[in-house]
Amino acid sequence: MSAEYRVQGPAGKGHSAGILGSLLVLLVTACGTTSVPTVDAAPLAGECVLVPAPASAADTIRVALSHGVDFSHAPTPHSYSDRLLYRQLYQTLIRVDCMGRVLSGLAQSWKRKDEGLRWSFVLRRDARFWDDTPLTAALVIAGWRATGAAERHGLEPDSLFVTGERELEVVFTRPHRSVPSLFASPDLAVVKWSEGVTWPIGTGPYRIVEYDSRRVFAVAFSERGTGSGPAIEFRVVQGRDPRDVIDDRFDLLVTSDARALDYAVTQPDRDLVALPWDVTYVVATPTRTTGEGRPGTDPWNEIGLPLETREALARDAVRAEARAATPPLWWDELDQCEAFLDENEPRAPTRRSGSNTAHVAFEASDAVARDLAERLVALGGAPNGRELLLRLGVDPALAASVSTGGTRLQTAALDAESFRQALLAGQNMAYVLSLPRLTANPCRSAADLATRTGWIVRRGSSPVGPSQLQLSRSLVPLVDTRRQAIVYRGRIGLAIDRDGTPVLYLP
Amino acid sequence: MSLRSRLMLAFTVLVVIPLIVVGVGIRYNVGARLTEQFQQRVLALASVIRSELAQEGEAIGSMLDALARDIEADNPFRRAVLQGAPANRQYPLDSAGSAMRLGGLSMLQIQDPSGRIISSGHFRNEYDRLEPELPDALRPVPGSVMLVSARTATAPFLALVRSDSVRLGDAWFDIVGGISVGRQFLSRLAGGQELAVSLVHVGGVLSSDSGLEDTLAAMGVGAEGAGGAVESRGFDSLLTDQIVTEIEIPYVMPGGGGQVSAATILVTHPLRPLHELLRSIDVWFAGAVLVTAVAALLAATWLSTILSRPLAELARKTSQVDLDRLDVGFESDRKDEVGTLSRLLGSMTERLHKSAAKLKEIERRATVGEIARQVNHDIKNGLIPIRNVLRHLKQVAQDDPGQLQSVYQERQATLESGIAYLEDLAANYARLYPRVDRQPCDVNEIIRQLSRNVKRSEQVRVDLDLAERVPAVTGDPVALRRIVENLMRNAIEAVESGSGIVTVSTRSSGDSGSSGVRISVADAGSGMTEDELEKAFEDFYTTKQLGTGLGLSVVRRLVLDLNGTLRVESEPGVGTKFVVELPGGANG
Repeated sequence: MSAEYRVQGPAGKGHSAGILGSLLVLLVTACGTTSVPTVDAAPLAGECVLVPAPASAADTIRVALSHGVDFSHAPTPHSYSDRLLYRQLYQTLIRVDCMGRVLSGLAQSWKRKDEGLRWSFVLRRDARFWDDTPLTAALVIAGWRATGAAERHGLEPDSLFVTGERELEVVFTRPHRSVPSLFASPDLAVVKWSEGVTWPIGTGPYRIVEYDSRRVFAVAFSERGTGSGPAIEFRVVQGRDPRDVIDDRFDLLVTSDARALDYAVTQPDRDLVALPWDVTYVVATPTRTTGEGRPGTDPWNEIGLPLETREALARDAVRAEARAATPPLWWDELDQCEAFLDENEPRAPTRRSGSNTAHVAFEASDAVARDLAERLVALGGAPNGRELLLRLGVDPALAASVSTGGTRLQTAALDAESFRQALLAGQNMAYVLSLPRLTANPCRSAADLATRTGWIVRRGSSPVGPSQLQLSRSLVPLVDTRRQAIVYRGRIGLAIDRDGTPVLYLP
Repeated sequence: MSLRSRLMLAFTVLVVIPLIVVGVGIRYNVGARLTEQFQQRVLALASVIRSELAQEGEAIGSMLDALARDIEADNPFRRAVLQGAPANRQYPLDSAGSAMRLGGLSMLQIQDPSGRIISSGHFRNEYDRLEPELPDALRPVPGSVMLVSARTATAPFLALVRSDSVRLGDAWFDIVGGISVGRQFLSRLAGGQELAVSLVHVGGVLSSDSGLEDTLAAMGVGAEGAGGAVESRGFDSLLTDQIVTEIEIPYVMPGGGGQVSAATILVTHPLRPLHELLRSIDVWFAGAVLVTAVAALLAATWLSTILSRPLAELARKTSQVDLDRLDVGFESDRKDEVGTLSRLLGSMTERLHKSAAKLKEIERRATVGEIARQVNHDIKNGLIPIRNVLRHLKQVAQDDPGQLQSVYQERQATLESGIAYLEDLAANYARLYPRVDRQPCDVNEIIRQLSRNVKRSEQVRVDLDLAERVPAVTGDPVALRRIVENLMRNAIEAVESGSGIVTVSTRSSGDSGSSGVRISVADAGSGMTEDELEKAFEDFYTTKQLGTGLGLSVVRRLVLDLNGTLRVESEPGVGTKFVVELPGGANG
């Protein structure tokens, strides 16, 4: 049995049409086994358009990037700046909008086969790389393999097949009712590498013409070469005061800096657009993964902070826009991910011994993580802090030692590399981590997390179930945060995808 | 001890001992003065630190006073604190941090009347913690500064704090603020490299000098429970290589329920520079002593050489002088005492020479007299039997002439014996004064001939050890033969009682300018006693039954006639060795 989905048509047909299209897509997605007629679907639902596209485009749109970018690992983003940049430049087979609706990307249609064990995709006929190479199924698979994305997402060589010049088929080990959202993952954007350029060549509507460590300049791409749309200048503003960036008349700045947001509010030609809650801060405690608990009790019970504590953290401790971490969280739904988690052999954390100091570690450049770590230290180090430490999953003996003053509790601000190594070894008492709240491929994200920590996944000894539950129980959610987009009014439109990344929405 | 040694020792002692006395004096004075200076510096710095602490306290107080007024006027703060509006929660939380940074403070916390921290500048997220002990400890002594251990998210730090209060509504809120007391603060107080300022409190020690901090920590200073030990012993006794002054400052112990103890600020000056200076003085002084001693030694050597060389020369010349050798010259051009002494010795030798000549003459006359008496006696002894025979013959001729022939024949042997005795006597006396005929003589050849012809028993062996090239001796060969013959015969007779060896050897003697021959005749006989040695060369002294006692006496005269010397070395039971030194070449 098979079903075919076809989504096609030019972008930007209007709001009402978008809603209609979205409803139809939602319908076909929900009813996966039904044959679907061809529809003219708007690429974006209205709910996902944050700023409508202006009537006329400027010559050059200027986008501020808070961190430097590096194309060596493109299209896999390593930072928020990577996400923002790559999203404008590279395309995936499908897109999932902010409402979870599947939209056409490079695939104009897809088909479910064998009860969802096999999925085939037909590529858009007009899709071309920036160097004018026509997009083929073979190039798509070659690109995935070249970047390692296929392997990272569990798409082994014997699971990818070219079935036609513009048709490819993917075989899964377990069935998917609806089209797997992993094909919307930026990791699986379609690229190819070419001699003489330091960035991967994509298929997006803008192609790179200049790049250095501080600036990426892209121009609109059409079949005839340079298109007629505006150019986009991505400029790295790392180290600059965000208010200076606002004054510098950038068209888009995504930030969570409170001073910049306060300042932007006072600017008459700027709009502040709240982006989705896209980051969840959690505490990961290596001692918790050892199965140690309070004697005589279920070690997995009474773990996790109560809602009022999380709300207090979001309200008082964090000096950024935050809320109590709120379900659903993707790591609570990993029932399909054994294969991914099997990739990572669990390692026992390397705990420090003989020290009279216990650390809550965080990455020094992350201000929210710093606030949270400091608050946890303040609460945990207080005379009555033992209960909180136990709720974070700290070893009861260590928690008792901290509460009696035998062990001093303090924060450890680590640079990125030191934090990476410390997290991998699990040598500190606890870690404040920022995790993406929204992900196209939860299994992949769980596997990435397991790769970063090593000790966070435990299998076979949990009293409560399979491995995914253990991963879930290893993380104590604290707060969700989000960024705001500061937009120069009337110059750009802005939409968002499922993972909360803004997409320029230009005429 | 030789004169040279005495001179060198005296010189060294005279120069080095005063130098040592001076050096020790300088060392003592430098040490005392520097120690005093260091003590003054420490006391001065302690005074400055007390003043600085007071000034810091005033500055903190002014800052807290200004902050209290700001808080009083700050309506958002008032609304958040008094009305508890959730929307304004973050405003007071950030207030202390902003005020702390603006005021240049390192620690600032605002606490409500219950002691709950409502805003902390140094630990922003420690809000809501109940800590009434700190303001309670600070409140009783308004205006005083105290040391507290301030918590932060990373590590606690020491802070010098004061407290103030502000009224909001009906409640009084405490403000506790201060500055960080870290190594930088202590270094600023120390003001330089030489002095160190350390802070010792229950639970730790901090110092502007990391080395001193390590030392104190290693001693357990600051460790909990070590305070008593420090108090009982004092820091002076702990830091023996430092000059120490202590300043006490109230300290609120962390987790001590607001209990106030005393922390101690130590102002120290290491004695290391003094020790290094003294060590440097010691090194330079030792060098000076060494150089001076070497110089003194060289000077003493030079001086002693100047003094001792002529004296040694005089001693050498004097050692050559004896009655047989009085021709040693003591001439000197020196104008000093040595020259005078040399001339005196020369004069004395000359007088001795004259006296010796007179003595020789007297001896010769005495000898002649002795010989005359001996001759008289001997002749009489020889003539008495002859006279008796002649009287007997005369008597027979008168009384019985017919018997004269038979009596004569009977007494003829007596007559002949007496005549032979007299002839033998004459021959012997003739030997006393042999004729001297001077000519170059080959000593070795004479010795070889004599060794072949000398009469000896079979048990006696004569070994010759003759140097190949010995100078010829100018003299009478007969006299030379008699010298060697007499000595060889004496030696052979000394060993003849048993088997023995007589060794005759010759060597060249003297330097090239005055070369000669040394003849040694040694036997392994019974040797001579000292008494026998003294009389060995006297005329008519003999230990032999049939000896005349003239042999060695004759040898001595003959040697002297050849301008030579004769000496004897003998040891009873071992043997005797005669050594004749004869000048070579044209002597005589």
